[in-house]
Amino acid sequence: MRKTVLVILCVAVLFCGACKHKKKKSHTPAPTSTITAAVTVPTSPQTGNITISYRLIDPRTPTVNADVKVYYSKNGGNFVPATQGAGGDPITNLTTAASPGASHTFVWDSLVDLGIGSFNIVIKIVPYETGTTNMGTAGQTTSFQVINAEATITVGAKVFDPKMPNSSPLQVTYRVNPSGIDFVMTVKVVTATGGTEVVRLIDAQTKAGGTSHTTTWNGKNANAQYVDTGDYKLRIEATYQGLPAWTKEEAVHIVRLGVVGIQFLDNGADGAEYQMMYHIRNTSLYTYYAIPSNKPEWAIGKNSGDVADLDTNDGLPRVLPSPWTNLNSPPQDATDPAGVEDDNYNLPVCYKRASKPKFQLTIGSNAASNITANTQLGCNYPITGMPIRVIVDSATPETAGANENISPAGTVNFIANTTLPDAVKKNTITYTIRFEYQDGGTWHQISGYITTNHTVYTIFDKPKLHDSSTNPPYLPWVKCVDIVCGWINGPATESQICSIVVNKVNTFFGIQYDTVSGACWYTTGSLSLQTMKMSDFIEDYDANTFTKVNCSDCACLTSTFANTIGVDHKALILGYTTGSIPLNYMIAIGYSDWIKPFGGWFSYHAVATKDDGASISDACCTLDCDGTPGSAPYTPLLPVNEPYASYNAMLSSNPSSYGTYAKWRCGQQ
Amino acid sequence: MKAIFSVCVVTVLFIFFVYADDFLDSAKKIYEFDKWQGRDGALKQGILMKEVNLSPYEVISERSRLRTSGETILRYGLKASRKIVFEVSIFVGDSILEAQEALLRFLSTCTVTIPNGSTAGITVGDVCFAAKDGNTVALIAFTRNNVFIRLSLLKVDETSPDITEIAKKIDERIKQEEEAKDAQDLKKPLITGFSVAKDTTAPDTPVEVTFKTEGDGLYVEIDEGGGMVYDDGGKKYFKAQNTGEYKVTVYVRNERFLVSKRTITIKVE
Repeated sequence: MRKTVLVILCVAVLFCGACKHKKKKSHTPAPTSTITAAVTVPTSPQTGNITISYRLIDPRTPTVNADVKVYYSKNGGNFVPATQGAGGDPITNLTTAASPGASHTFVWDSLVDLGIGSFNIVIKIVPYETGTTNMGTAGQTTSFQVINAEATITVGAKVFDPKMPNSSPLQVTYRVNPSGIDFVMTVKVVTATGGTEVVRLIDAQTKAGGTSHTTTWNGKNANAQYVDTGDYKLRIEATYQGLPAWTKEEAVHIVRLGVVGIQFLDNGADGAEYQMMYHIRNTSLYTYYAIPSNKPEWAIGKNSGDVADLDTNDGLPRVLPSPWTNLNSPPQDATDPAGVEDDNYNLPVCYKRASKPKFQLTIGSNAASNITANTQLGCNYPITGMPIRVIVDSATPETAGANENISPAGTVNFIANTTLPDAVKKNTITYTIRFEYQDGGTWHQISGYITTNHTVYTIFDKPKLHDSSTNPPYLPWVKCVDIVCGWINGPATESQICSIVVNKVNTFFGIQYDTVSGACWYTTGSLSLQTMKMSDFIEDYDANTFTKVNCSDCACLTSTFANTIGVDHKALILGYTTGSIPLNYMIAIGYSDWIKPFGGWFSYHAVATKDDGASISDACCTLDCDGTPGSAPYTPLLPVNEPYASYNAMLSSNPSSYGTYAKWRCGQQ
Repeated sequence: MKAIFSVCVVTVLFIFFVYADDFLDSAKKIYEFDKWQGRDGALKQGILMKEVNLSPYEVISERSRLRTSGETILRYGLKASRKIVFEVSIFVGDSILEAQEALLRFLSTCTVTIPNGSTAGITVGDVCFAAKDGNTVALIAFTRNNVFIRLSLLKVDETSPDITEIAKKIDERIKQEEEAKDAQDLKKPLITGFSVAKDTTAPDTPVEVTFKTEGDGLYVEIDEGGGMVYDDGGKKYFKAQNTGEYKVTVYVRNERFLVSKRTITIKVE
């Protein structure tokens, strides 16, 4: 009995199991209604919201409305309910009709149900008499292909200035999933507003899905012109066998960044800056030009008629100026009334040795269109939520954070991180200026950088050219500073500088003593205060048309060159009203023989002194320092900071017969 | 306090004049200035150097000394090489004494006493001094009436011209020049209406300056006094970067080397 019961139970279980299995295999129980669904197979492939067309057939009269349930089967799997997308007919209370039936559509949101990928799909529609469970006969499609794809596009930076020097084209990475399918891809740049196509970077190229591809944008349109500043989008469009395109966009801000002025400033105890001047402003001597102390030494900008400071009127970036190399005069500008180029130049700077330069950057204020000539454009920043900062490599903002959130036409002060050489020399310093934008709390580099080169002279100390004036011509002349810095060209003490200057005046120019009259050739005025005609001297130096010199010329040259770089010297007149000077043997400048010029007498002699006559330097005469200067043999010595008594003992056979007449810092013209 | 200040000013002035007088007095003794001839001559209306034929030499360049000694230096050379061979410095004084003092000033800045021209057989001008390089006369400085001429060879060699002959030609030309009754009768170039629109301006703020010149073959030079004078739209403007008092001087020289000058003061504050 127990065995019988067990067998019955087993059979029952097996039967039930078989029934369950049968139910799993088919969602559709036996029809209890005469309504039939007939489903049209969509063409392959399909994507996204797929419209399923079907008919509901009811042979009865009157017909009964129907509800439908829609299922899909993926790649031969089970049927699961399909998600209805927007559009199409509702799924309840649908009309039916006698064969061929009433037509309806069901929009299936395949993306929700399937996600990204390629699938073989069967759709089944099961009709019910409306409001009942009276199920009709289901209809289903044969298998058709559904491809749901996804396009992505990213850019290397969200802020881009294609005109920035040294910039790289914008990196664009794009991809279409799923893999296993070759899509036809197009990548283009469109305007953010209106979506007007600007340029096509990839034009309908067949590329593999599931793989990242890259291209670049140089910031130009289809006509190879720089696009105007503004907001743009990078857009990818991917298609497959006539399916609607999959698209994706990424915004990029085209800005115009740059610096239009670099003004070097006095940095107090850390770096004294000295104003210099050119001795020829236009074409004639004595029209001096002081390099303005209240304007940038390095500048680009609008000339007369220009629309923008960063770009020329054709919309191309202005060429950054190289250091101006003419040492006599500033660059000329036909449109500037003063005759001096005042919008695009790079003039030299002068600092005390071992200074830390301080400088002010002026940010450019506007751009010009490369598409429409003579059209001013804004710089397209600040950008809401994306502040921009300027960075100078090897320099620090004078005020922390002052370089952040910059605006067009703004200024930022920087202080160099390293000191200039503790030397008297001509230096070339380079600043690299970059920009970054902040996004999501992180600073990102904006491609490109500006490199500016500057000629910076480092001199010994504050120039001491004249007792009273700090205006032209008593500012250091660029030409003179350049000459002396070339002579010293390194670290040097005051004494070493004296020695170098005296020796160079004696030999560098190849000038010769006027053995005829000992007349002044480059100095004028009475011996109580002479003026060095430096303009004439430089003119002759440049043209190699030197005349001659006398001791006044040499003394004024020595003191002027030394004073120019801050080593204080005066010219000192010996003899004259205090008595003529009986001479020992000497070698006059430009000669090699030991002589006693002019029959052995000077009516006066001009020398240079750094200490009001306590010691003497003389570039004009090489003297005999062997203790017996009145006779051979001779031991040549070019006197540098020689004590007054010992100098005169070499110069004169009777030093007590004369005295000092006057001493002064000479004038300069 | 005022008294101390006055004493200081007087002392400074005294030192200046002592230096100046000292200086010229000494030169006057050395060169026997009081014995110089020609002081009773007539004033000449300068010298028209372009009428002096110094061929094959011609003026290669000029140098202005208007701001200091008042001289103009004509630098002569051969056209082909443009190498300067000799210089002629010209100064025309308002009086004969002024020209002779200019000569004296030049002599005083030579480190050697320059011999009288007669010692070298040179007899140009009223007063003449000359120096030789070997046997070649390399420097001649002379005055004729109110004109001071200085001739200098830049280099002495076998190709050097005889500057004695050149000096004679120049001297002859001076003799031919028209005479003036007195200093007021000198036909100096005119500078009229030299003025500034405002006596005071701000840094870097242009202020118009005006003046007119009249005369033949004018050379105009402006001492900007440390500021800047420039043309803009046919007008002249002055501006300066720094505050201070600026003396702007206009020098005008005509083709006869007669010089006029005018000065105005502009405050920048």
